Amino acid sequence: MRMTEKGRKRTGIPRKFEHLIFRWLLRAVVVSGVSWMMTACNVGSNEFTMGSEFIDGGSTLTMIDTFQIKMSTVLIDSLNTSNTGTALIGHYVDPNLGTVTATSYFELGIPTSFSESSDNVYDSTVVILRYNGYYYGDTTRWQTITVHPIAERLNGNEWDNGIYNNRNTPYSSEVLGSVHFLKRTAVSDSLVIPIRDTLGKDFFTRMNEGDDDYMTSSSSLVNYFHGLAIVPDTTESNVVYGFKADATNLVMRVYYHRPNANGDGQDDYYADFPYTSVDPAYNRIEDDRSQTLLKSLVTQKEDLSSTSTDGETFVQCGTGLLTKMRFPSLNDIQLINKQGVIMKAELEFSPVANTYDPQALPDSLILIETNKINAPVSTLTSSDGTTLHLSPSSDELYNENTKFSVDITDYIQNAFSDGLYNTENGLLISWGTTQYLNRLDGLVIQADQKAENGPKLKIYYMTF
Amino acid sequence: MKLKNHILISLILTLFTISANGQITSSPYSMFGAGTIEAPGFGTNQAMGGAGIALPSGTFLNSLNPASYSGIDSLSFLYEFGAFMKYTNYNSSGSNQDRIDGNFNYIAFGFRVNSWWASSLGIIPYSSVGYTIDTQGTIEGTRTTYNRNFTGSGGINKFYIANAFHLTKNLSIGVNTSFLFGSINQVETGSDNLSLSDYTVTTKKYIRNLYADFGLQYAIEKGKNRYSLGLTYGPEVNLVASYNLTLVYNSTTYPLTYSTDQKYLMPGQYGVGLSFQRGYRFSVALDYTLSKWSSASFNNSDIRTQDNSRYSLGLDYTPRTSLIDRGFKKMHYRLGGFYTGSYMIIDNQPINSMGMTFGIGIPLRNNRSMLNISLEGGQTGTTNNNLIRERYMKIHFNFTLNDVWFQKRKYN
Repeated sequence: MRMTEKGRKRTGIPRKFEHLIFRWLLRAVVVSGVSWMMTACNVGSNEFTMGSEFIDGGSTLTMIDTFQIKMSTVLIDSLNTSNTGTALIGHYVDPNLGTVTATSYFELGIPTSFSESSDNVYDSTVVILRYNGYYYGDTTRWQTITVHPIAERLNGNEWDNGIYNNRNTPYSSEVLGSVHFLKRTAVSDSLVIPIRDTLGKDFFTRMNEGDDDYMTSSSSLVNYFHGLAIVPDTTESNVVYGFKADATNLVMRVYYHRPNANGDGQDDYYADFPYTSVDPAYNRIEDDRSQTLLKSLVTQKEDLSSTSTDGETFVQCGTGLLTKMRFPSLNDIQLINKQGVIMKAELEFSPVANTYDPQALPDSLILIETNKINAPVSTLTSSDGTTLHLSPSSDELYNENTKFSVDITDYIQNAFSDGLYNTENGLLISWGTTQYLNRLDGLVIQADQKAENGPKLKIYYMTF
Repeated sequence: MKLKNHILISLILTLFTISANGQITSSPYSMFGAGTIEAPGFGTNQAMGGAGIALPSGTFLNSLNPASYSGIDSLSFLYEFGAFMKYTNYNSSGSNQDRIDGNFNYIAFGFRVNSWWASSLGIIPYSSVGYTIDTQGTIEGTRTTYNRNFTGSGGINKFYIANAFHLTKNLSIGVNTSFLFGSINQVETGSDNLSLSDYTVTTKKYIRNLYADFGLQYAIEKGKNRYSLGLTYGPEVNLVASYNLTLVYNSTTYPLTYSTDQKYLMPGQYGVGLSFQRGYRFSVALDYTLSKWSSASFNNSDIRTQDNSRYSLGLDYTPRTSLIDRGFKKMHYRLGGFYTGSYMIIDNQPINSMGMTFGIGIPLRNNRSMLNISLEGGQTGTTNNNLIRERYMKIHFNFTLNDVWFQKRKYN
């Protein structure tokens, strides 16, 4: 072999040089190869759009809105309307909801200051009420309200010291004062009712003479005088007003004077006997639905189905009317696929056209979990724990398709936590508690699922 | 090299190989089944178009046929380690996308136990998954659309222990017992949905299966010429997957279960190979492999399966005429080609693959080890019916370390 090699005539590069080139080439290949791998692994992780037709994700998202919703009107038989800060006074006839009459009861306390003097001379007495801005009804109609003395102490309930909207506290037929008025919206911020001097003079005299039995504290005064009932007339008026019920804004004011120090005139004084709540103050809400579709609804345990109220259901503040929704076919979702996940549940309902003023729709309805006997169990909250509020939305251009829509995913998911949803349970549609107790607004809800604006439960469901 | 170094390097490379699992492909076709089935064989085979069922192990480890290991000579400890870089161009409906992938992908050892018995063990990829796909979904029952992004990753690796036995001078048989492990993963992200928040569905299917396949080699030597026939057989097996399916939505994790069994079919495989070798200077190998994919199903109405055939042919040549030759003359030059018929028929279109390979083997210092570099150019799929054609160029680096073992050097 060696001989052959030796004998061969080399014409190209010398062998030693060839070897050198080879060594360097080898090193270059190894170094560049390794460094390429180190730096270039998975370069180009740009998104890939090819192949999208064939991808089998395994998951399917479906929206199901064919769940049956049973709607009914229910009645909370009594509402604690004591010490709400609002005095509701008025009378209104609603074609759907019937007649409602609101009477306000409250006590008077002693004045914070009174300048006693044997020179004091009584002048006059008024009750001053300040509007809180709320009204329900026709503000263009004149109305009359009268002031009466309450006939007995406003005793609260034994268990919660509250007084409920259906309590009829007797008051004397004696009229202490009355006013016939029309609220001029822009200018009137208060309503002043002249009071008979017999009451005013009696209070003035006792204060001026330092009556130790009754004028030492509000608690002692309410033993002597049980408070005022402010009563609307029920023939003429067709509006209910809200007034601020607190010691600053609701007072019986007694005017008096005495000669001034120079003896050339008089100084005028007044003393405010303010709203007080030694016993609960409250609004009595009387309703008469005997002329409406709701006339058969009298107890809390019953459901008045929308099928017997022309496919509509009702909500009314102050009177205890609420709409109840039940979902009898909700368990069907488990028939589709036990593996499914309820991603989102959205509840939609609409007010019945021409029953509402688009500018005055409630802007914060709430939903309350309820059961077979219509007990309010708990208010639905959003994920951050705050109360879930529903506000209306509508197509702005035509003001059509006004609806309330709310995410009730948590409620629906929790409803299945015990396996099956209890179809006796449901949701009550209400105004927020404060509004519900301080207003008389009503809402007529489309309950017919076949109607275009009928109620809907949309469930977004993911299956695998 | 000392035994201690062997073990240390082996350990490091094994860890690399295992941790690299799942990053070795990017192909939309890998969304089907267990992913893209990896081409078999180490560096030398890959440079020869993947052919070599009838070739013996000896200067390299031939993983195409477990019977080949009986060719390892008694003093050798063979050691294979490979990595690759792959540039792919995807073409579908006139649009193009590019990608570069690369990774370490196998490690294996082989040695002779005694005069009639040789063994090999290693970790090699069986399949790999890698894709990212953006698409649009629609909420059924609505007209609401949303973005869906699918990312697939993972793959199945094979840890094997192969044993080859000389039955007669001409005949050897081998059995390859392996443990298949890995996971096929998919992450789906739904976003930009007007009705819903973003969600993520993560599927991890874990595969742990034992497997065995078999091989036979029959060789006749006439002078410097060696004629050989190789046969291989792998039975069909269902790879049963345990899985983990979760939905994450609004920070809540929902564990879920599939309604159907999750399994992948590893098809029955029959291979036959012929080879001719003339000393160390020249060898040629021709292989035919039939995989019985027709019994597999991908749970996708667009896809049919069929049995597929793979044909491969490879040559290896070195001009080396003397042990003391140096440089280019000592290098091995390899050439090959293959054609793989489709096992998937997507929309009535077969997804065939074909490619050409070219490689060099550069002897390293001790003359027995070799650095193999090969270049493979090929294509998979078709642009018909809006399908995807992948054209790629792959560079494959492989070290075949051949260490003399069980021998004390004698110095005079």
